[in-house]
Amino acid sequence: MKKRRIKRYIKHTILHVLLIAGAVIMIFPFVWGFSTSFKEMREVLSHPYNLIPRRFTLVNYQNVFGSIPIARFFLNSVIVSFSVTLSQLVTCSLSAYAFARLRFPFRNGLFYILLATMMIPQQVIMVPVYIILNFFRLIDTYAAMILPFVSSAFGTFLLRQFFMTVPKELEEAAFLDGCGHLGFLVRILLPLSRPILATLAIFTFMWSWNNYLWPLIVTNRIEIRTLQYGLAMFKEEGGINWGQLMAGTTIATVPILAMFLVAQKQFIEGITLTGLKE
Amino acid sequence: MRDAKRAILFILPTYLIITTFIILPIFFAFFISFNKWNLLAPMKFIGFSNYSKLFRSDEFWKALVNTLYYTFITVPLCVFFSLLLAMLLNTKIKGIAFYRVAYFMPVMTSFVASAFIWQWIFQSQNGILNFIIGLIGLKPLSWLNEPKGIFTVLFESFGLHIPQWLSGPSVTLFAISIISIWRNVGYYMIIFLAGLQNIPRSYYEAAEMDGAGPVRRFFSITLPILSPTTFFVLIMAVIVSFQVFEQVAVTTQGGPLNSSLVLVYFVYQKAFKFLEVGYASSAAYILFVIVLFLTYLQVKVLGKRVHY
Repeated sequence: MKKRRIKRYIKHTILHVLLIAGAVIMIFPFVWGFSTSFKEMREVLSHPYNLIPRRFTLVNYQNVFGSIPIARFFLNSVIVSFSVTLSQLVTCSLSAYAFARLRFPFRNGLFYILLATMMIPQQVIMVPVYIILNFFRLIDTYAAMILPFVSSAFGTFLLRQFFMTVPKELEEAAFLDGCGHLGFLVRILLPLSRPILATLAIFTFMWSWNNYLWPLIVTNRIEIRTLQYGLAMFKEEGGINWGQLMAGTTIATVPILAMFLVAQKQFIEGITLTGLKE
Repeated sequence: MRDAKRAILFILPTYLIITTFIILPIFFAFFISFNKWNLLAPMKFIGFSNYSKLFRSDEFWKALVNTLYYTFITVPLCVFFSLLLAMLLNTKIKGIAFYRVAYFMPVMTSFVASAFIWQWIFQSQNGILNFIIGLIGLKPLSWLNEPKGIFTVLFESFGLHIPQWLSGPSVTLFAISIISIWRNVGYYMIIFLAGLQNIPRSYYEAAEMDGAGPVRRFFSITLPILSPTTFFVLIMAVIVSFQVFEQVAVTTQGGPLNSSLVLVYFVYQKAFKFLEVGYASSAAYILFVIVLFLTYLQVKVLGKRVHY
């Protein structure tokens, strides 16, 4: 019995060593970038491997706010990501409700077409979508970054799967109480679906916040660039000031990481539920 | 009938968006790919010229080969490490929550941010990676600015020379692959973990009673039951790697000497830098056909094997 316990102890120690080594590789780039953002330029060049800055400074953050309109980029990212997320919650709830609970001609056909569109990568259609937005004179506006993502097949699919699990009796009871379909959806079904709505919101927000390809293609004016695109441009102008770049990177990363730490459960569940979206 | 009217109203916003921004564009792209167009002058129908130009273009082949190289590096390593991590985590060990967060953090990070952080690590002077490989006596590399093949560089460090066709992907492309592996491992790990947790403990206990060792248990229980998950992850990872863009756009813009040029960056360059919209669309369509084929394979095989 004692031998077994020792064996288990050794096994767990080996496991922890392996897992910690892996975790260091995963986290270290963040830590190092983060520490660099608090170093003076001189120290960045002379002692790049110090993990703790010898002289702690906020000058990089001051510079980032001074030399590039990072506050504006941040605001733009917030505007775009919130608009996309909120509108998807509304449009996807409605369409998911129709596909899960209403009977109408061609329902299955329409649903399969919707599913099929999930297989089309954004990169394949970026040229025609640009042309369509250009046709409506929307290039270089917020609308160009928001409109194509106001609804999604992924969101519809995710919510429909959940809506289908809610028992029919609940609906009948609500109708007896004089609720219509919209009333039932808003007052009963959506409150019941809070976890899955949270999952959809988090995924959509994260995707939108991190999106680089789209703002890159459809915007030119500096004032409406999002954080990701703004940062990438900032690097191209002139030589690289690593301290400043890491400060900007930190500002762009922290909101999403904070959101993840708060809503871990929804993230993990969202992935395992669907395993669908990158 | 009233239901039908209401249903149409309910699905209208979604269908409007999907139709305008996905369904129409995919047909539109097909149409444009048979035309010569620079967005300004009127379109001109030129049949298959764009496609034949594509197949004669060294640049396109370079982009295709680089994308395949990238896929062959990232996919096996991603699957291997994510499965390994998932199996380590699937033991009754303390601190799972911490490890899960640690491994998942890169997945949350934007491509732009992770590319910046890694550029800092990959720097040829002052880069910490060169510092680390220096500790084991290797020469520093300019990771993101080295068009030479990874095998060429490897053998050169032992004073050996190898023929050009054996040189392998460029060091730069290899470095970009490292960024992607780091970023994606956590995502696939979560999917594997879910798959592993579905395997009943009693299977392992029974096998252990029959005297099966850990290796035997892995190959006779874990791997077969997990095969649908593995297949899903495999195809998913291949599809994602065919769409690689941001890492390249932020770090190298396809360079040096096109040694990190990939398919999507080729499309982007042709369409938005040189305004060869028709030509770009033909390349985009080839990408689409590849992804479509992979998705078909996924649906077909998974559909059959999901009941084990």
